[in-house]
Amino acid sequence: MVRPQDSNTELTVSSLKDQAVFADLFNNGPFSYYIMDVEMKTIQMSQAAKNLTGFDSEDASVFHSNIENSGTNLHKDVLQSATITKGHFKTSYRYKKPDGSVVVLDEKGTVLTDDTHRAIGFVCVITDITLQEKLKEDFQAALAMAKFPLENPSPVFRVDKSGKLLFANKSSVDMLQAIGLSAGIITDKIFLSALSDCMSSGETREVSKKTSQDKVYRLSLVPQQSAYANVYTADITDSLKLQDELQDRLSDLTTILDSTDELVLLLNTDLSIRSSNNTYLQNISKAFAAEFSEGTSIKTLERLQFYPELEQSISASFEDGSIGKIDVSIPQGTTLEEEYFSININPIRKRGSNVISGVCLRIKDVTKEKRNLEAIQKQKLFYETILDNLPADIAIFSKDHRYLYVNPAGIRDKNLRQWIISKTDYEYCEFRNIDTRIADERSKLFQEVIASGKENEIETFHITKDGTTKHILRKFYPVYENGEFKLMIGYGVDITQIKESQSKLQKNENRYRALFESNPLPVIVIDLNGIIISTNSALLKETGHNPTEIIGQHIGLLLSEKGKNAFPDWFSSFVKDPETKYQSEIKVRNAKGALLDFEITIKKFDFGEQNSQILIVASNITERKKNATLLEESERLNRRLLQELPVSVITMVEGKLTHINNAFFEMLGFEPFEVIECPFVDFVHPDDRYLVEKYNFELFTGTDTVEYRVRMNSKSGEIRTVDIRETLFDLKSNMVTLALITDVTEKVAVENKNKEIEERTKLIIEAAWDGIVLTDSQLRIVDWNSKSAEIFQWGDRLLSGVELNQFFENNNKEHLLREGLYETSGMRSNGSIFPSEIFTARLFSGEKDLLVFYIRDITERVEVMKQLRDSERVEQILNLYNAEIYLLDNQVDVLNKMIATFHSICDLCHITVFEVDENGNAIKRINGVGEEFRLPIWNEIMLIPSQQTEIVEQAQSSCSMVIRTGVENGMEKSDLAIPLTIHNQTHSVVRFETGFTGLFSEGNQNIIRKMMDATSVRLSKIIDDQKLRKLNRELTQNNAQLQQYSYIVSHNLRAPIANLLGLSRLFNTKNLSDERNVKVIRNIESSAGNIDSILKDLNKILAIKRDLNKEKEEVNLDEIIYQVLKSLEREFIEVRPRIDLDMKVTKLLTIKSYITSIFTNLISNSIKYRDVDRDCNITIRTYMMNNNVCVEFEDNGMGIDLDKFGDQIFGLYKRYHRHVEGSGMGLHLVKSQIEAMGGTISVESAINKGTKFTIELYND
Amino acid sequence: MTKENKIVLIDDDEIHNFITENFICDHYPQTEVVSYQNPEKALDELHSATEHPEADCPDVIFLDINMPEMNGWQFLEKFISYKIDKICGSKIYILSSSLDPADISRSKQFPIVTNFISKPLTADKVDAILN
Repeated sequence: MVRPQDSNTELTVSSLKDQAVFADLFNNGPFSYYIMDVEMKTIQMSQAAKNLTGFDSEDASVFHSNIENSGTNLHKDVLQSATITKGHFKTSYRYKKPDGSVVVLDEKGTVLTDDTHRAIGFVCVITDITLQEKLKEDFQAALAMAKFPLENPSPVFRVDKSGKLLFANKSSVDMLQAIGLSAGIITDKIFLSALSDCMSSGETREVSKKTSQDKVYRLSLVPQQSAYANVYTADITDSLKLQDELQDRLSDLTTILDSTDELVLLLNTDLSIRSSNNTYLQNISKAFAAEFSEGTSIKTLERLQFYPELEQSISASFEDGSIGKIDVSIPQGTTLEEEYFSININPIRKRGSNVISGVCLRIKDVTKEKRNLEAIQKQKLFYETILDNLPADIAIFSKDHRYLYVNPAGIRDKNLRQWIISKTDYEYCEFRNIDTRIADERSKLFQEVIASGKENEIETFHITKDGTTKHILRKFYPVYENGEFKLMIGYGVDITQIKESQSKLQKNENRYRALFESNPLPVIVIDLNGIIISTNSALLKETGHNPTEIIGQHIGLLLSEKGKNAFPDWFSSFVKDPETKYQSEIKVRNAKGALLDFEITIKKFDFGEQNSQILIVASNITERKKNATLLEESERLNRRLLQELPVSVITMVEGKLTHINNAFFEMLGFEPFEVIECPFVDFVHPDDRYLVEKYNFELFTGTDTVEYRVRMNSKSGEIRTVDIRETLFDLKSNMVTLALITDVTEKVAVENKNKEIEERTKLIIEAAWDGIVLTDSQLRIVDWNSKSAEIFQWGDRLLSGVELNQFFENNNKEHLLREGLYETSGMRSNGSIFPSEIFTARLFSGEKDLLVFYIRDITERVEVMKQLRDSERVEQILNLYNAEIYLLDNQVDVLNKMIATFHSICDLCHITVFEVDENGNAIKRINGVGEEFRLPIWNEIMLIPSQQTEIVEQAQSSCSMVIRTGVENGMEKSDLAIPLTIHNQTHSVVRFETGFTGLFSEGNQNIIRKMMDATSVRLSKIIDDQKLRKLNRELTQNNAQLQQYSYIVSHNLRAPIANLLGLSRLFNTKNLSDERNVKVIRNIESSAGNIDSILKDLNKILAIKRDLNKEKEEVNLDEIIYQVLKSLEREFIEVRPRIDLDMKVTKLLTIKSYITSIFTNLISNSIKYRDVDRDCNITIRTYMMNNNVCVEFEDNGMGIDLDKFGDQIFGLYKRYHRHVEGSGMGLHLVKSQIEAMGGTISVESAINKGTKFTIELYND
Repeated sequence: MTKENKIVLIDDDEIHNFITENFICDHYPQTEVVSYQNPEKALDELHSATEHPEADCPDVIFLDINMPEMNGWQFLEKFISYKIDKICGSKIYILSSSLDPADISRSKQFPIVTNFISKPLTADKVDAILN
């Protein structure tokens, strides 16, 4: 037995392992050892060590993992350092045994090495030092405790369980007082109650107490060995204060949150609600608040539909702390009206860290704002629409003269219009590369307006692309708000027209000035101050004054002393009452100082506010009045032109006028109260009101803008033609129609007239076959049409003023100046000469005489004439006509045939002709008009060859007739139309009508031209075979029916009547008791009944025609059969027939009453005419055949002898069986009804076998 | 008129037969009237009568046209085909309520038809026939 001498002895593992004895010692000895390798895997552990660690396995890796407080690592480090130093090591650690108890272990170890002194493992001895450690700790604690209370700045004291103070430190004085220390005993009840509780439970209790120093302490009572308690205190004054503050803050926050108009939700990371501003919710509704209760996941909230974008924003907020804001619309309630919410998302961070613990959602109902905004936008749109539609330029500028808005009239280009917003005129000029002068002008005006605070205007003009000058009146209106300049509205009114009228006015003025000047009477114009503005030459002549002497001088200069003195009085009274005309005789001083007598008339004229003038005319009364009236008239007219713009603007709601501008009133002469709230159409000419309705309907059904022209009635009954342009827009759910009305009455009148004349003239002239040239009396060309340019090959040459005669060969004016029709030679541009026919007429157009030349190029005609004369080329000439032409002599012998008669007829009719064999199969195509001319309808028509000759013969004989008639009667022309009848292959009849015209030349005896105008050959009618057959069938049917009626009348109705007559004769009137009378009476009754039933039947048949108008409906045949069988119940019970159904078709689109009647008749017939020796069997089948519905009724009855009655079976009042009752009406009715619906009925029958009726209903 | 006449009526109209019988008997009491509603039966009896040596042939036959199963024309055809006319020499009158000219012209195609009489039968008409 080998014993290890020392744990420090160096042993090799191999040697250790080899020695089983050692192993035994190791395992069972009193030492707690274990051995592990360098990987710290336990290789072996002694039993003692196992006992100590409570470890029961060979593998001791768990052992290490049970070392507490990263002891494993500590252990490892120790081992590591020991490995390096190859020495010993020592450590201690707390170790948790598998049973849960904790021990403190002391470990001493040695590194094991191999032969090369490399560490291969460890051998460790462990000792349990738990108890020592415990004692050591206790001692330390006791030491600390002993020292602690006295030094503690907080009160620490000890009481026994009855409240007797055992110990207290220095700082306890106040506290002890606070808890009522009296004679060494604490009396505070709360303290005592906590103490007793603490002692009995053995657990720490806490109470709070306030001292006299206003300090609050928390007292912790810790029981000690159930005999006394240590009391430790902590000053919680500050923390309580903090808490209060926090509470206040919290309450502040809650108040803030609750008083917001937002729903605030704090969410946890799982999207559940952490908290919400509940009061806000409660204010809305309790149910609402309940929905948003804490812990609810917002994903499940139906009210807050969880939008994907909301989810995204929230998750983004969680991920990177981003702040989100989204807008959502949520349909609410049953109306599903959208409500709008704005949701703000803010991340919630843990205090002092970046960790996001949730999100805060602030959900605000912005529906109202949104609606308001919409309303404002609509309103804005409304005004902008008005502005946009106004024909004047409008711009709105900011304070610093930057564009805020421009309407389309201002800047037409949409992009530019957008571009200019917030830009200035200078930028605009730069952009458009135009002179900045415009900007300077505007800027100056802008500044002036700001400075003066009053609107102002300037006139500008520019030249447009098409070269016309546009005059624009630019106006600036400042807009103030609270006395502060806010905006500038700029108007640009196109005053081109006004300018023009001004210039007209100027012209007028000039005219009047001329009048004024040339007036033989002296005239003088002064202003309100009496200063002479102008005079006429008559005055100067009369007075001898020089204009420079008197213009600008006071009128007094011209007056006598007396007149001068009197002047101020009458002049001021005159100015005050300008309506009065002042007439007087005055004396005027001439240049030489002499006084002259004048009779004067004074009149005041207003040319604007500050611009009144006084006209003094010295004239006789007649002349005066005339001049004054003229001036007045002109002035009134001009002022109107100046003041009025021709565009009326109105708005309408539901067709009633709501806003109207002056132009409208002025246009129609109404006063505002006569117009406002009245329907617009009332002012429209009655014949045009439908237009207003039509276009308004279009407007209300989606058209953006409608434009139309109507006539309107003015108050005076005058009719104005106006162009209306309407737009519709929605203003606060009112549909407002904006209409711009332009009075175009005069324009239209002139336009129409001009247009009419122009168009007519142009049409006539341009459409003329002749060249038309208009010249003045000197043959200078004024106008010409395109045909004349074509004839003379003038091309685009401008010929105005060129003499027409130079375009003729002889260049002789006289030659051309004669009127009427004549031929001459024209000359083309290239010098070539052509024969022409000219007709000259003189036109008297106002002051000027015009000549109109109709010039015809007769080259072709001359050519033709020439060719005609040439007999050898006759054929060519005639070929010019697209017709069939025969050249015949006066014996009607064919000289020349241009086109083969038969083929050409076919060709011209687009008929393709084939040669056919005896079976009618086409062998060869005979004629060959181009495919493109052939109409498909003719393709199928083929002519049988034998008929060719027939047609040719017919045509030729007709020709001969025409010619002969012509020749015999010495006519120039002869027409004849003959019909041709052709049967085509399918025996359809094709009818032609062909016209022949013979022309006979006067002078030529030998040659007669005859033209067979094949183009007039036309197909008059093709009667379709099928139609014919159908018609025929209908006619036959009608005819048969008529015959039936006449049969009824002639036989069936007449027979009982005849009987009645006979019976009445038999009646024995002499001896009433004659026993025969009884029989007679009975028979009379029977006959009368007979008549009655016949009339009823007749009515039934007539009803068929009537019922045909009934709508077809879908009928269920099963149902019909059921109904029929039910109606035949009595017969059924009696006969008990067997009915078999084989219905492949059960539904039918038909006339229900007919089908019911047909089924009833056929089924009842089968029962009535059953074979009494057999059971009655009836089979009804329906099926489809050739796309038609077939119904079969088969029975095993007595049958009908069809050989005998076949042709009459469906006739009226036909009966084939004597022994069975029946009116002979049923089958006729059935047939009539089937035929009326479009169908046929057929019958198969064999005597004593049965009958089968088959009905086929056409499916058209 | 002294001789006893025999008249045969063929008409499916029972009332008419009643009237005619009574009418003739009233006016010509010595006349024997036999009426048939079924022309086939009449044909059979006439046919069988001709087979007797002393055929009791009617002097006059009044025949209606429109009858079920066998009409007047068919009767006439059979009558001719049975050669009854050759033996009997009866005068046949079409007695019909028909005013249809087609019927009148068709009756003329039968030489054995003496005349076409429209209903009703009057005394004048009977007189003209029987005398």
